[in-house]
Amino acid sequence: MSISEDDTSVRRPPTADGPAPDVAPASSGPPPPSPDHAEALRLHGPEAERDPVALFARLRALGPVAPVLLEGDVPAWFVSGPRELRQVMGRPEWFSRDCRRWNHRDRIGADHPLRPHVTWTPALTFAEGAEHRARVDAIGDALAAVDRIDLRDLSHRVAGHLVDRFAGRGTADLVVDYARHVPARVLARLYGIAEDSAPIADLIAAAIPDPGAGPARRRLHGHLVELVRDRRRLPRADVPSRLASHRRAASTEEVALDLLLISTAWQTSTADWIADTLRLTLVDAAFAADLGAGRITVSRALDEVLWRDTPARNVLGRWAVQDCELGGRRIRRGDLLVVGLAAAGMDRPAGERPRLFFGHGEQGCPHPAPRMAATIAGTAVEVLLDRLPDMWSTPSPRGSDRRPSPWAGGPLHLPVTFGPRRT
Amino acid sequence: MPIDSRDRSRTLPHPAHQALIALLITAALVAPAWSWSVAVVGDHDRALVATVTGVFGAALCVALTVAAHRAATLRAVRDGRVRADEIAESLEREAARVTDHLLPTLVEGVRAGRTVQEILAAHPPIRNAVLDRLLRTTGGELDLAARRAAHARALIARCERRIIDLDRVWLSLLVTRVREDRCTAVEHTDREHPHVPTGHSSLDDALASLADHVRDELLAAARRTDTALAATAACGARLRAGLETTDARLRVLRETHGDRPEVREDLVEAGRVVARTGRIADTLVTLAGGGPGRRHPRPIALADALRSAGRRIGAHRRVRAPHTGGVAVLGHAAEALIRVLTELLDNATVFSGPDTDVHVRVEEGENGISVVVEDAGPGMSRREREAARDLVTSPRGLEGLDGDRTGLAVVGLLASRHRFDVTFRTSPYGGLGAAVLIPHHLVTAVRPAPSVIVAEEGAGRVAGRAL
Repeated sequence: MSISEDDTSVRRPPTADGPAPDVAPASSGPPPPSPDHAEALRLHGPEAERDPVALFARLRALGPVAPVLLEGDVPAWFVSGPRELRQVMGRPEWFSRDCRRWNHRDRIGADHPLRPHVTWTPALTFAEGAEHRARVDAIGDALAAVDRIDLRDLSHRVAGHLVDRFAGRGTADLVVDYARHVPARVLARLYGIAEDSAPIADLIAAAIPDPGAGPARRRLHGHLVELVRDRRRLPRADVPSRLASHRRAASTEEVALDLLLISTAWQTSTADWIADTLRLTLVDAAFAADLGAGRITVSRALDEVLWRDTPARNVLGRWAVQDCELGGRRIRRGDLLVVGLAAAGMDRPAGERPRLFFGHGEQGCPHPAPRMAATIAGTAVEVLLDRLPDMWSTPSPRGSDRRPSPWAGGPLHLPVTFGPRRT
Repeated sequence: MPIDSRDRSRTLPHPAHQALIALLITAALVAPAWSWSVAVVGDHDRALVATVTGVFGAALCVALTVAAHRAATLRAVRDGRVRADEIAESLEREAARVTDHLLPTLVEGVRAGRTVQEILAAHPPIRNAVLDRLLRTTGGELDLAARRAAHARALIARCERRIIDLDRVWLSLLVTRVREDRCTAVEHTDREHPHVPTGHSSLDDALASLADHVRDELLAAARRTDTALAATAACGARLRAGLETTDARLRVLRETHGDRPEVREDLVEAGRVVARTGRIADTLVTLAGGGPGRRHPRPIALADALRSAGRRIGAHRRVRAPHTGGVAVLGHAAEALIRVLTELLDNATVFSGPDTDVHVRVEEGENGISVVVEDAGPGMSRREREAARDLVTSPRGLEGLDGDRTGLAVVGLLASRHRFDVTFRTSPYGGLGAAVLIPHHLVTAVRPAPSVIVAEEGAGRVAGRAL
């Protein structure tokens, strides 16, 4: 990969729509729905929200690739076979990330819930080819400079301080008081900003699925643009400075967008991972017994959570570059494919590490981000269990505290009680 | 010194002037005499007499004028010589004063820190301008050299202070802070002990670069140690988890096949080996800074803790434990207490005869509950006891271990983490008595719950779940 090649590819005009991909499938209007979708299951609505796991099992029973209907009954393919998932995620030349390839793009109105996910922006999510590679490399390098042992110590300290704050109370909400704060505060240190600063509050708010998330995300974007501008002026030994210096040719706006993507992906996935692991230790008797008796280590417990209840359940999306056949289904050019990570975890091969859940191949979560998330989540879980092994889950006044969504499954609340500690 | 200022005012007339005066006087005398002689002689001789006396008179005039000029010139030369002698003498005297007196005074004074003006003002001035200039220029140079020397001395002193400061204060502070918390060590050290620059920029740069180098190497070494410890702890934890799983499987096997005599002994022995090995894995993890393998969600009765500790050593049949009433240890400290007791019981059984008992006593005191493990072995000498106390009071992990005495190191680390107080004394049985003081805030009453189950029995936090 040569620098000049990247330079030309990243210097895109920051227009709202950018240059269109080489094929423009949406121009001739949506094609007629395929006969497969006549009786397709819905990946939305009350049934899907009440018990997504049962829905995944039914989709899984339909084969490695199943027809599915998204909000507004927009047709898509649900991919859950491990082999098919690897193909979809590992072959960007067949299955593109660019949503402008979608043949049903016209059906997404301004108020469609999926609109933010399928509206093209210069964000990394929709980038392809050499540009994608360059941006992912920059992110990977900026993160790789963080020493793993430093990250562990940092997480340890952050987690310890957070436990100190509620250890004397005897009660806590492990999601609101703990799981959301650990990754955000660690990230604050890696970004060289204060742990209690506005960007970190906005980062936490942006990852909570409620109406405040959108404005918080926009405020966070503003903060990050400021941050990148500041670090370009006066570089420091932190992730934004390294990212900015790695992508010297890119605009401040584009570096800030990448930073926004890192921040939100980091926050949601790690916070949900921590919360899911803690939830499992509190509600699953056999799991708790194994962990309590030391028969499984915390890092094994984290792996187990990915298999059983992965935080990012489904990922939207990939678009077929050309007509093809996948898992016995005819996929047409421009069809949308949903990556069904949670469904894929349902039949795990014995002894396999759960690597699939961070995405697969070049298009997945860039190395070493998954390892960093595992370090932070593992340390956070370990610190909490070591400090408060006498936690008991208390029933939530709000009933079910799982996120009612087939897309992301992290708990929203995890109230516990324990013997108050002198700190 | 008599300088010729008065002589100079008495300046002699120029020889030409003297000659002119002589000429005029002679002419004034000769001219009337010639006129008279011309007048008295007859007309006949007048021309001759006039000529002769005229020539004579003129010759006289010339002679006297020349004589006067010569005389004046001679006097001037003599006077000049006298004056020159006087000047030379005074110059010599001044030069001697400058060389023998003023210059040494100047050198001494400048060395003592006084200025050149100040020193010279205390002495009569030098009349000779050149000598004066020489003196002042030399003084200026001396002053400059002295100031340079003082500056250099101050710089050396500052450098010395800075190097001593780097060595004794900064470095030891940095080492302490790195030991406490590697990630914030630099930040804290810089805040607590800012560098005082010496003022010499290239020297400051060199010292700063030296300090940076030392700091970076120190941090890198600490990071390497921590990485090795973390890897050890992670591997040990996996090993420990595998052994715990094996132990649980063996327990199930003993329960199902324990009544078959042909496998019973083997199963029990295998269980012992796994338990002992598990303890070694746990020692490794603990000394590498890892967390406990077992976590107890409920308070553990002291009797259960003692039983659990006894099960983890080889010779548990020799341990005599009392009935310990209704005291329990809070869950978060229970595993550490069990580990401490395990090591102390192991020590007691290993260092005493195989036919002797190891006694455990529980005493309630003002500061907490004390568990004393006493054996009938040879005990420890005073120096051995001191070494053991040192291991317990200044805990060190795998990185600071001296030799292979891991048991007491584990006791020290866990005791300091949970604020147990461990002391050694001579036991009434003749051997060693090791006491663990559990502070009151870690102790509670055993709840009259029907089944308080230690986590290792496989219950976890499921019993009595609120959900």
